[in-house]
Amino acid sequence: MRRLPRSPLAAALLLGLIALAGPAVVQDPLAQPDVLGGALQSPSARHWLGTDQFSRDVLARLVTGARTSLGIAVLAVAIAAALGIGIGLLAGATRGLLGAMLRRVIDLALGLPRIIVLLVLVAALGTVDAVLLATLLGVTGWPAIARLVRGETRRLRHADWVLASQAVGASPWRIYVRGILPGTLPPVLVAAALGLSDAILVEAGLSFLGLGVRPPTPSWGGMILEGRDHLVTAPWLVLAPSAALVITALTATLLGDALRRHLQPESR
Amino acid sequence: MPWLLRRTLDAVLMTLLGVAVLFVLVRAMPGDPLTAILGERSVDPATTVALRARFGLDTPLPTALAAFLRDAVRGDLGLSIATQRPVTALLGERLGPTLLLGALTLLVNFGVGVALGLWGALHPTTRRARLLSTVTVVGYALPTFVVGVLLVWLGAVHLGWFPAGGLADPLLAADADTVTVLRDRLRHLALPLATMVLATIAVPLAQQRSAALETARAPWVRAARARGVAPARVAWRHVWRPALSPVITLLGLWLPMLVGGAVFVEAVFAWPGVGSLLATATAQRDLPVVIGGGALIIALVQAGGLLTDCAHRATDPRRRRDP
Amino acid sequence: MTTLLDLQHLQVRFPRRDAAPLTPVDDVSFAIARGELVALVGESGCGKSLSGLAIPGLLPEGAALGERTAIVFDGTDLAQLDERALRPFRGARIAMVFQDPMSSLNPVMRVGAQVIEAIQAHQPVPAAAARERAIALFTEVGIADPAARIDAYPHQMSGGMRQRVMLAMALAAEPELLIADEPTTALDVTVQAQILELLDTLRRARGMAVLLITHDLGIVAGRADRVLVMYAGRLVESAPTASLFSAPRHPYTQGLFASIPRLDADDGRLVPIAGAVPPPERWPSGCRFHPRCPVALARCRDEQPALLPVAPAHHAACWVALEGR
Repeated sequence: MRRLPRSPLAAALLLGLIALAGPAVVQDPLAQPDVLGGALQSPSARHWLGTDQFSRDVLARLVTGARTSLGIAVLAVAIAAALGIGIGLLAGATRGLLGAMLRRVIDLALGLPRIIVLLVLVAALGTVDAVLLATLLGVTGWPAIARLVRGETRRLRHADWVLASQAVGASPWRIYVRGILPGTLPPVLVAAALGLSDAILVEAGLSFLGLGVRPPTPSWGGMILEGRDHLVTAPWLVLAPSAALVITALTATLLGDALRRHLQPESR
Repeated sequence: MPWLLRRTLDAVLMTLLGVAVLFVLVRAMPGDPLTAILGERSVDPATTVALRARFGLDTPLPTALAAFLRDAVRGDLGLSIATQRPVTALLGERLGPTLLLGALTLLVNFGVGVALGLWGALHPTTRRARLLSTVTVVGYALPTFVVGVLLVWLGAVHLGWFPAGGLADPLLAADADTVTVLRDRLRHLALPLATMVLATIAVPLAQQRSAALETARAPWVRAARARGVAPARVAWRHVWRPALSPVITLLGLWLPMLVGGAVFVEAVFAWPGVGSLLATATAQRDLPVVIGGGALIIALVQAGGLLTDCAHRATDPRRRRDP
Repeated sequence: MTTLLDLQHLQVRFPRRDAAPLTPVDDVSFAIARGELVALVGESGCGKSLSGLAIPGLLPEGAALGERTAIVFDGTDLAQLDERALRPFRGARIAMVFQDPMSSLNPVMRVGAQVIEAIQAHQPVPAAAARERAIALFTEVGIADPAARIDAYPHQMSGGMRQRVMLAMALAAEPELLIADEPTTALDVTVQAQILELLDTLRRARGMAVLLITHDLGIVAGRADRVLVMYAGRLVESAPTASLFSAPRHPYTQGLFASIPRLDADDGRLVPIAGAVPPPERWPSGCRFHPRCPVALARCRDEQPALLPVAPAHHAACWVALEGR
């Protein structure tokens, strides 16, 4: 069995560490010490990534933004996974009308473009705080996982050991939750890693449109939005959060890829 | 019932169900959203009444839903809260640019992505192919709006070759000759198109490469070589054509992705399409527009899925065995 | 009878990164005369398929021919030719039929189109004429209602019919040598007989030489002119069919015959050959069969025997056989 390559895992852990502990170490992201004189400074010893138009330290905002963005993404994926596993397992386990209906529900949900549903929800709810945003992302992200889990459940349902368990009189709970569910987890884990990348990018996109985390709370998408007007004079305002976004999304994707190679070697 | 009819009815049904979901979501939100929205601006009572009627706030949900769907099918999506104009008119104006951008993106992605994917599969061990897969992975992680912003900076601000946004030059004379108009359009199209392509080409590239890799190893390829068939023809008819089927599947899954890209790219480039309309409408909480636009997009995605399935049946004879 | 193919010291090597290269085919030499049907027999893993693939240069990626290898086809050494130079030979002079007709046919292309492609691969034949020829070929290989079948897709045909289509494609350019790699293994027993019969008829009608690669000794009797037995990358016995069947000399061949059930004699228990075929990484020293051989001598472990005559036109690579005659 090939060992899980360490670099994506290490990078992911490092990012997590930065997000969790970072804000305690850097300057106050909200402080605007010297708006008139200290705005739009290029990177220096005091401000490693310079300052923005309100003289706030960019590095501080970046790191705090990491906590916001990653926190939202992780919560979103957790919600999506919980919902997806629950619905998917049920859809895969039930037969007849209920099973067919659940399948149609999953198909329908998959056919709805995620961004559309998000826009409708945000329009209906108005301002959203971080937790609500994470919930919205999670609630729109479950179909993919549900389909995966349903597929795996149906596949595993025909295994001999399931038949044996049924013959011995094991309850559906035992068979499905204690037996089949663990078998569906490897692809779910892979999907979760990729879903993390997705969630980060979607959240950033929404913040960029002004629809996500509202200022002054720093978020990477918001920073790009605010920095856009100063692209010529202070490109680091856009480049720093952009680089952070790409690196984080890339790490999540590579992690997912590595997980897939590790857990599902046949699906090369 | 012939397959096409069944499949079309399925698409229509899914569209209606999708729109229904959007409607129900809005109604189900805690706190009365419409009152909140209407409270944020001073709207005359007539509009308030009309809006309440459209969303059926005084009727039970099923009745309201049925009425809404009935009106939607008839082409009546209500009035925009912000501009008081019919939603269908707004969407009509905006549909063209979105379809233009989307169709061109599809073409370029399909053409370039597929060609590169095939090329990467025919020479799997060269460094170029490995570079290609790296580019693929990175491309997948690039958010569309980031690419857009960076391209604006590079192409419009730094190099000054392209305009920073918009569909056309508003100052262009109304009687300018076709060539000038065309050039202007193309210049405005360049950056948004480049953004869409860069952000979304990774997926068809990777897909086609893996599909072509699989078919390149297929026994019939060796059999064709054994007959002395020319290498170019082997690559085309025996590696590429059979690999087409998975790519077409991809197209179907990919259309929803294109939608997300459209919203952000249109926002970055002030491209007057349905995507940017939705973005601004959401910020303004203009629900009729958001739901109307959402309904349109859902319909387009379903139509795309239908076309994909038709294309599938046309290119892969194995699928014509009716289930 | 003139020699059509003269295979000399065929070796197929797979270079490995940290070890000596693998040679699943290791010094195989034989010749095929025009119109002759030669059978190459051996268990799976002995290298017979690779030997067949080597002739028209269709070895898998990563494989190379040995330095001493010469594949002399009608005077030309194919081993020295590159891909471009080999193409005129493929199909037009040397054709190949493979084991699984389902996966050897392009699933998204009509069978007629594939046959026409084979016809047009070497000569500019106009479409209408090519189609006529394709229909004629279908008739020749015994496909009923050829004009209708021309436009079918592979998945719409049975296994036997697909193999006939493969034969039609192989014959399209009038080859002088047909290499058939396990042509009947994937088919039902009744269909097997039909295909083999067809093969024989075709070769007689066209004066075509056939190299029949198979693991099934049974289909060889009564059809092949000569039989070559292969084991662990080398030829161990070579003889005219009658001579081989009546008096096999190599212990491996004898073991093969002993393990085949016979209808005409009640042998009681079948006698399998003890042990298993060694993979190329673990070939024994000396005679590669010696660990499984019931009559092995000390010499067999130390020296690898060459293929030498033990009877008229009958060769065997065995010290015991040599000493016994």
